[in-house]
Amino acid sequence: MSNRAADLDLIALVEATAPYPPAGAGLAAEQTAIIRMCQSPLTVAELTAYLDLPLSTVRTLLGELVDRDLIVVCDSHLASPAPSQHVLKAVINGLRSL
Amino acid sequence: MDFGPSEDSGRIDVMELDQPIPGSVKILVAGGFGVGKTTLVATVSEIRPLQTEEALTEEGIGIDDTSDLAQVGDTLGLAQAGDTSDVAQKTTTTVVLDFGRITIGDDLVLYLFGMPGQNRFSFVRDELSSGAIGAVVLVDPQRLADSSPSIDYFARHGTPYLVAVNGFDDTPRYHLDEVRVALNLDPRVPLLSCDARERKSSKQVLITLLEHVMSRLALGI
Repeated sequence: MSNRAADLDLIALVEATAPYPPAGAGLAAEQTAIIRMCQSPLTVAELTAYLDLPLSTVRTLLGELVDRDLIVVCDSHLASPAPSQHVLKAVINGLRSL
Repeated sequence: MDFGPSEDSGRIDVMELDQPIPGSVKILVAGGFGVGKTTLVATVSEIRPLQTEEALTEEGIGIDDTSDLAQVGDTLGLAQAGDTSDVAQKTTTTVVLDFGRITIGDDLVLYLFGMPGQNRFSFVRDELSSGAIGAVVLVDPQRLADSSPSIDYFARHGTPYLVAVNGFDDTPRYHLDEVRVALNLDPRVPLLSCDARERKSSKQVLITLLEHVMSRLALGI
């Protein structure tokens, strides 16, 4: 269940597998937009905001695109409730230097 | 436009991408309505604060009267999907989620999510808090009780959090000790004052939270 469309994490990264949407694929306009926007990885949250659609709708659209191998989704590997001291220290230093 | 429920879209395989994926750290910014969550996210985010909407069903909210739904939106100033005149048929409403991003380096990104404080949005909070390393609870010294549901939530779920009192120039003076007593706050929970409009102050809130998470980690909590 953990990887179903409904559970796609808000900060999971989405990337298109092709440089442009396939012609005649019968995609919704929003799905074409997703492929264009995700030429480099973009989070589900950002996609949702740019598309101005409810999250649940975007997840459904993404699920269909994944099924058709038009996008891949990558869970960010450090998105964990228990990050290392090293990562926390790096974030603190990064914030200080902003 | 209708994006009705699709057929079962099945499993989504998490795949390796071609290029390295930056690691991420997720922090929540919670508190009562109008306390300054959006301001804090906007002050430190490198991108224009994004707002996403989460559709809420009656079932999700746990109330069965659509007139209550309208009231929820009105009370919270939330976006209402559609016209209120057809509220009798309405089965969903939306809650606006704030989202910000701070790039720490080539391989690390900090994400901030605003989180509604009200108990009736608890299922959105579960979704948002998944994977979060900690939370900032913003409180308005004049409306301390508004932030209690957020504090209770994080205490119950064992999420590391701190309380930041968001004060403005015209805010009546208060003592942090009094706030701690009024909120019945655990002595181990960091409590500080901030001005969410100030970048430096907002950064300090996040740094204090991260240091708190580190110290808990060191203690094996």
